Order: sequence, then C-alpha cells, then structure tokens
Amino acid sequence: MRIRIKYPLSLFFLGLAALCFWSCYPSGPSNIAETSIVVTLYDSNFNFGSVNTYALPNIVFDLPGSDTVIHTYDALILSEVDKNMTRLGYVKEIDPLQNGADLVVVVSVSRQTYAYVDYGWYPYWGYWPGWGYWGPWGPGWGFIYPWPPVETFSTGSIFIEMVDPNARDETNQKLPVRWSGVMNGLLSGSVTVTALQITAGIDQCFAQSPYLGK
Amino acid sequence: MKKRDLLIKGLSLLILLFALLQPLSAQKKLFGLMTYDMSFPFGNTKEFSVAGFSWRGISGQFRYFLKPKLSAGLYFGLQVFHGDTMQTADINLKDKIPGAITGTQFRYINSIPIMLGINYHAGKDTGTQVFFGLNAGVFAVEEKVDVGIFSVDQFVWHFGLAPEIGVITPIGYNLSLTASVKYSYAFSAGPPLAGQSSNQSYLSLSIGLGYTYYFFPPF
Repeated sequence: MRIRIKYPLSLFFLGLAALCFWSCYPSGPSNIAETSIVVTLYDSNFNFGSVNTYALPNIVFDLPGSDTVIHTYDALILSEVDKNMTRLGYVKEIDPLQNGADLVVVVSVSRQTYAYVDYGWYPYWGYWPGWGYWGPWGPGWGFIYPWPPVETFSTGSIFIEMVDPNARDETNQKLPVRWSGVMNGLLSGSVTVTALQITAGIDQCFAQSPYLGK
Repeated sequence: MKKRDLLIKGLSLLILLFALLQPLSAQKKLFGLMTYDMSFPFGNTKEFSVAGFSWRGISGQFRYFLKPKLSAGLYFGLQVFHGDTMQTADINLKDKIPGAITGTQFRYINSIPIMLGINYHAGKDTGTQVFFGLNAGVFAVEEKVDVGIFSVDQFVWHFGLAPEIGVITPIGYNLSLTASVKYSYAFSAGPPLAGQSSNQSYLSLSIGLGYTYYFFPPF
C-alpha cells in the first residue's frame, strides 16, 4: 500500500523538479537569422539636407584583422548603397578627384568571430586615389566617430560610413563620420539568403534613417 | 525485576502520561507548500515581454497557524516571462548619440515575489479546505532586452500585492494537493525600459504539494 502511494508521489516530485529546471531556461535565438541586426547612428549636429554630392569609392574594404572575405557581393553592396543615396536626392560625383564631394561613402566588410573592430585608424587610406583630392594624406589618417565604436561582432558584418572630408582635423589627422550603418550577421547562411539579406539590410539602413536626404 | 529497570519503566510511563495529558490547544501547525505556476501576463508585463502566457513559474509558501483557521506566513517565487518581436527601435548611445536598431528583440521579465501573507482557511481541518489569502511585500523584477549582440537590462524592487484563493485537499501522510489562483500586482518603480511603464501584473494558476507539520512548541 505504501508503495502505491509513494511511487506516484516520486513521479510527481520528479516532474515538479523537471518543470522547475525548465522554467529557469527561456529560449533564445534558434537560428543565425534571428541574431541579424541593422544598427544606424548619426551625428545630430550635422545637417544632412545640406549635402549635395557624394563620392562612392568603387571598392569594398576588408577591416583590419578580418578573416578572408569572399568579395562575391561587392558589386551588389555598392549598387544598393548607390541606389539608396540617389533615391535620397544626393548626386553622385563621378570625378571627386577633380570636383570634390560633400560626403564620401565608405563600405567595409568583416568576417570574424568576436573580432575587434578598431575604428581609430583607417589603414586603407592609400588604396583609393580619390582621397588625394582633399589633401596629401598618408595612410595614417583615420575616422573620428562622435559615438563610441562597436567593438565586437560574432559573424559577418557590412559597414557603411558617410565621412565628411570637408571637416577634417588636420592636426590629429582624423575625418569625422556623420552617419554609420552596420549590418551584422549577413555573411552567414546560404548564398541565396545572404544576397537577399544584404539587399534588405542595406535598404533597412536607409529606411530607418529618415533624417537623410535632401 | 531490578531496581534500575523499574526506574526506567517508571520514567517512560511518566513521559508517556505527560505527552498524553498535553492539551490539544498547545499543538501547533505549520504548512509548507511548493507549487508550479503558470501565468497570464497583463498590461505592461504583457507588452514588454511579448508573452501571451508563461509556463515558467515556481513558488513556495510557509504558513504558521495562529488559529485553527487563520495562518500567517512567507511567500516567495519566480515567474519568467519571455517573448520575441522583430522591430525597429530608437537608441541613444551615451544619451547623446541618436540612431536606430532593427532586429529580433528577445525580451525577458524575471519576477521574484518575496512577501508576507495572511490566509483564512474554511472547512474541516482533516478535509478539503478553501483558503483566501492576501500577500504583501516586494517584487524583485529584472527586465531584459537582447537584440543581436546588444543587451540592455535593469533590476528594480517594487512594492506589491498578491491576493490568492485556493483549495487544499489532503491525500494522506500529512500531504496535500493544492490548486490556487493568484493575482500579482507590482506597483510602478524605476525607469521604464523599452518605452514601457514599469508596473507589473499577472494572474497565476498554481498546482502544488503541501505538507502539514504538527509540533509542540518548546515553551
């Protein structure tokens, strides 16, 4: 008789304990797509309506310390950025070397696990001859961010930066970044999904920045 | 029979008589209860956690009977609310750098009530009882939002109330099965997170196991 009573009770306690343990562990992201984010930041003191022209270097840079990045999507990325800038009413400057531009849009990619992205200095300065228009700058020039740079990313990321070459700090050799868009997690998954995510992510960067445009 | 054996038997008889002659009113009753809680969130709790229902809850109670039908005790527990939502949210880094973040937000509320309660038990002591109770004390509430590699959270103490109604059915060996409904309300405290005011409320359905302990106080 005692066994008949104790046995269900033991099961009850076991079940209760299992429920208790289960209750402590809520579910998190179940796939990599759920960790994808689009972050934009901007300099609130800058008037984006005063911008007329922009330059877009025809290259997607690798950030320092990045694992090998397959540049399959470079054309797609640059095309999407270009399309969005044009849609905002900005005019692309084809020859910034001669004519200059109000903003330079720099696109970079990184594929790393827990990469440290150091925005303090931009080591690819000499790679694009267009920079020469604004001064005889060496490769030591970097960007100034009015916000603290994000330091770690767990998967692939695309960075779009609008740099203001006309407000350069000659003394410290820095260039102010007026707008920054980051897509994280976009270099994971299948080729088809990644291409779609890149397009959607870049469009989202501009869509969630209503202060941009003429 | 030896004198020593007589003494032991005599003392044993005295102790037995003393125990039997103790008035019943001196016997005290303590009731311990452990329950599994399922909760429906309301208001800000529902809006913040994006949860329609929470299966994740546990609580415990100790009740000391002041009178045969009146008990006072301690109530504590944990209820976890969790949900996710894909949306764009404004951010303001360091309170001066504006921007926005789009992604799947994983939201959590961990609510930990720590309260004193008083309960009235209707029905026979040896049979099924219905009880009505009011718990008052604090809720320790942690609210958290995870999105991508970013996370923001806050931990706030709230004053709160938790009225309860339930049934206790003895199943033998001083054990009881219980079922109850409890409404938890935590008053506003602390800054709002993710645009939501911080008062919390939820209704819990609880099932559990209780144990009644009878004892004679030492003095």
